[in-house]
Amino acid sequence: MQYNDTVRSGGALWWLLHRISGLYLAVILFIHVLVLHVLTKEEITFDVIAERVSTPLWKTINISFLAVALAHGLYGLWVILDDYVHAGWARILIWGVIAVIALVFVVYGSLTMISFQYGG
Amino acid sequence: MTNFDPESIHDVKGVPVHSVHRHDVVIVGAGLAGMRAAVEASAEFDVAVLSKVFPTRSHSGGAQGGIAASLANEEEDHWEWHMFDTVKGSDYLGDQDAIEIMVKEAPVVVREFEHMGCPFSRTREGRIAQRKFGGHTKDFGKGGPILRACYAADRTGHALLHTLYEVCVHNRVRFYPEFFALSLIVRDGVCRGLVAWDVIGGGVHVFHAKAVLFGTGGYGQVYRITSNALANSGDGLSLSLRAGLPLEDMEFVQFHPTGLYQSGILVSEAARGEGGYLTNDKGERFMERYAPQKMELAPRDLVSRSIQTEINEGRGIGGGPYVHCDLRHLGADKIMKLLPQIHELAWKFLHVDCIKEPIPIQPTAHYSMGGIPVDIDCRVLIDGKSKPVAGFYAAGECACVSVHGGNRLGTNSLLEASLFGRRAGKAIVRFLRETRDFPELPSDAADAAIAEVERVLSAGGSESVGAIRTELKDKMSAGCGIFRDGGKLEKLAGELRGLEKRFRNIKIDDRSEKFNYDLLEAIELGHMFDFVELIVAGALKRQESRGAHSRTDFPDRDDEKWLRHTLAWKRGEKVEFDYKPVTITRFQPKTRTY
Amino acid sequence: MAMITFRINRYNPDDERRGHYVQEYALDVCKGCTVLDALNQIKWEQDGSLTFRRSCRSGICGSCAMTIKGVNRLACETQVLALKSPNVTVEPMRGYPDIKDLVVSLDPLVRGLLAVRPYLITKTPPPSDQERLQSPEERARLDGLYECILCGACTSSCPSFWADKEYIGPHAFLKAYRFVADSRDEGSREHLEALDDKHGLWRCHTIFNCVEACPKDLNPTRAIGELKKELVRQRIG
Repeated sequence: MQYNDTVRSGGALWWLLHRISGLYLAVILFIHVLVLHVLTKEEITFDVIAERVSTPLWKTINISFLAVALAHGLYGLWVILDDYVHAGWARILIWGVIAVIALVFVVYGSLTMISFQYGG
Repeated sequence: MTNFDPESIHDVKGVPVHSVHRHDVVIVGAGLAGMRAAVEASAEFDVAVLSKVFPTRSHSGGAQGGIAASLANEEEDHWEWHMFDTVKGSDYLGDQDAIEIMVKEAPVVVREFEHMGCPFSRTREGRIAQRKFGGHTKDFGKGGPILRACYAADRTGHALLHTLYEVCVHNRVRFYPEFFALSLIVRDGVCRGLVAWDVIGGGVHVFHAKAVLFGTGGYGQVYRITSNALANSGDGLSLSLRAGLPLEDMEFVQFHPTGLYQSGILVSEAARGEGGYLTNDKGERFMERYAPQKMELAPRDLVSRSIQTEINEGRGIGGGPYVHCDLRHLGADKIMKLLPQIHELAWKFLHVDCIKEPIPIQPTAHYSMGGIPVDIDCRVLIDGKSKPVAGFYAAGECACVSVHGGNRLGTNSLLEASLFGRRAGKAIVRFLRETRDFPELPSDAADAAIAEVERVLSAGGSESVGAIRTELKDKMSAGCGIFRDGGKLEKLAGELRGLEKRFRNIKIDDRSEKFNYDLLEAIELGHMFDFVELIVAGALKRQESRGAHSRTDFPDRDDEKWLRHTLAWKRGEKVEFDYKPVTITRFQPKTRTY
Repeated sequence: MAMITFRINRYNPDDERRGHYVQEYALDVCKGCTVLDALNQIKWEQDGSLTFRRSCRSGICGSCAMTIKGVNRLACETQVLALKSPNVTVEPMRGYPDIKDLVVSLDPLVRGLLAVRPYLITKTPPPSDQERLQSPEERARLDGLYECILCGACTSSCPSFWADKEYIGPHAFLKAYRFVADSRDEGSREHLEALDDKHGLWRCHTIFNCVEACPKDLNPTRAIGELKKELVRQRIG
């Protein structure tokens, strides 16, 4: 049997991280729905949301949500492409594009979050 | 290990050099006997295993109920008891020296299977579980049925077969899957290898070997209702006959009492071992009349005759050719835990849920007690008595040691195949240690095989192989089945000669070389014609009833004249007979009742 | 009795130009007749060149796995009338190299099997004149694992295998877990070594096709899940 090691996918660690990130996303989504649609009694307006998002706790939650969702989703995309893309150069290219997308969105999203201010 | 050296290989006419292979041992057949021998010999020598099907497709995997050994894991047992049962079961035709070896070594063989990884079912204490089986009793037949059959649910053959394949993989045995043996090369009393057909790629291959072992199995396919696989066409028997060697006790064909109605697919004796009943149209447990003590757990020949008698006398279900095997009283739990495969088979093939309904069953051609005569080290005997062919061995169902005599007990076949496979492996190792050189390979070694393939591929007649085979099977079932008589056998012999004449005028639809089962089925039918003649002639000669051979015109056993083995050769068109005495050591023949 | 048309996907390796084509055979089929019985009847009475593997007729040897009405099944245990259709398509199993008509090459199946070291690995020698002990509970863990007949129906139905011909395959994972789950086996590292690979366990996306395809009602996906957990335990602790 031949082993093609160009951009080696999988491995126990990746599999485990994929599961853990999935769990994390489920928990965050649950909190999101709970806080926004159950616990928030007043009318949902820009002010209500903006006030909440400007707190350090929610900034941290949202940045981690973004990073984990990107990692989880893009890794899932890679797992599927991995089945069908066998040429070494194409694999490196795809892996690179995915990494760049992830990086750009995480950096851009984080900057937006950190710099976000409201009211006082 | 021998290094392959193409330069040293002799030219074989008509066979390209790359299709000449050289191995210390070439084994034909990847069932229990063949692969057990391969495991044994591969520790020291270069072993090749040829099989007409992929190894795990071999029909040993069809065995269900168990493998006999007096482990005494569940209750008191002794090899002497096992020996007595086997001798009595054989109707005193079994050779007692061979039987003694078998029952003594049985526990070792079974435990070795466990060590190899076989997933046996277990007792509470964690030991190999054992169940009851027909003909196996306590205290020299004086006690009731005994727990002696070691099992893996009702998939024992499957579990053993796959375990052996796994060990062969570990030992790096060289497999040639889907290679079909065409002829055996025996010259001047020395076996030099064999010729085979590569089924997938097409083409004749020559295997040059110091030792050849046949573990080619049985021939149930010559009967209409059979438990055997379509591959079980008795090829090894025919190849041996064509090499000028005899066959022994061919008139003894076992009919298993419980085949699924119509298909003949096996319903393991474990069904009765775990407590199943046999009932007729009136709902009677009719075995009361035939074997009042052992009932359903009497030996197979007796139970099959009883079922056939019920059917013949109009007490089959609705007057039809079958009776019922009733498991309902065992309950769903026991059935699903101990007999899951029977439940599956009855459902899939008859749409019968055996938890709620009885299973329609009829006797089915199952096993050949006779075969290639061998000594206790599995060396094939050129005269059937004492003179071995150098380098040619046989084990398992295709061989006749004879441990089963006139009738085999259930679970003794898995035992015989693996135990004598192991002995054959050890004997081959001893032989190879003394044999440094390969025997000379004659340049015309492949001639007969090539001619046979060419004859079939160019056949331009009008007869269909399928139609002739169907007729052969129907006629064998009608004329040489459970009950036989002189008149019917004579008539059958004539009909078979007529059929064989028609066989010489066959047509063929597929003339290609790659994966041509049309070709294979024609060659297999030719094999069948070789030995069915011996079954019928042997049955006609043996004017007595013993074990599975039951003559209505000679209903009694005749130890005076017939306590002896039949040996038969094919010389041209004629069948020649010789006889040899039965080896009797511990148990003198007695009347056989159950 | 019912007249059934069998639409059989045929292929003759000696006639590459023609490639695959469908040939129809009509047959009077009675109750209880299996697809294998029908194929045999066609071969024996209509067209001897029709080629398929078969042996035991009772669902234990695994020879006659093929795609019947789009589903991988054993021909010998599929009742024709139970398919409830006047037309029955029969094709070779997908994903394997074709040999002829309904016969495919089993090489990928064997290659995957060998990769998992499919044999009991022990380090402690067994007791010399006794069996190793195994409790009925430990033995029960092997139920649903040891019954595999290597027919290849699962791997042929697996999208991961369609995408990667070197994918080890659910049949081999089931076999690997049969040993990893065995209380007597001391070689789970060896069995798992080849599985932690691009062509190994991580290619399984839990699609469950193998479970649906298995004619013996086994569950390779469950075995794969257990093996993944086992690998995580070994690699990460």
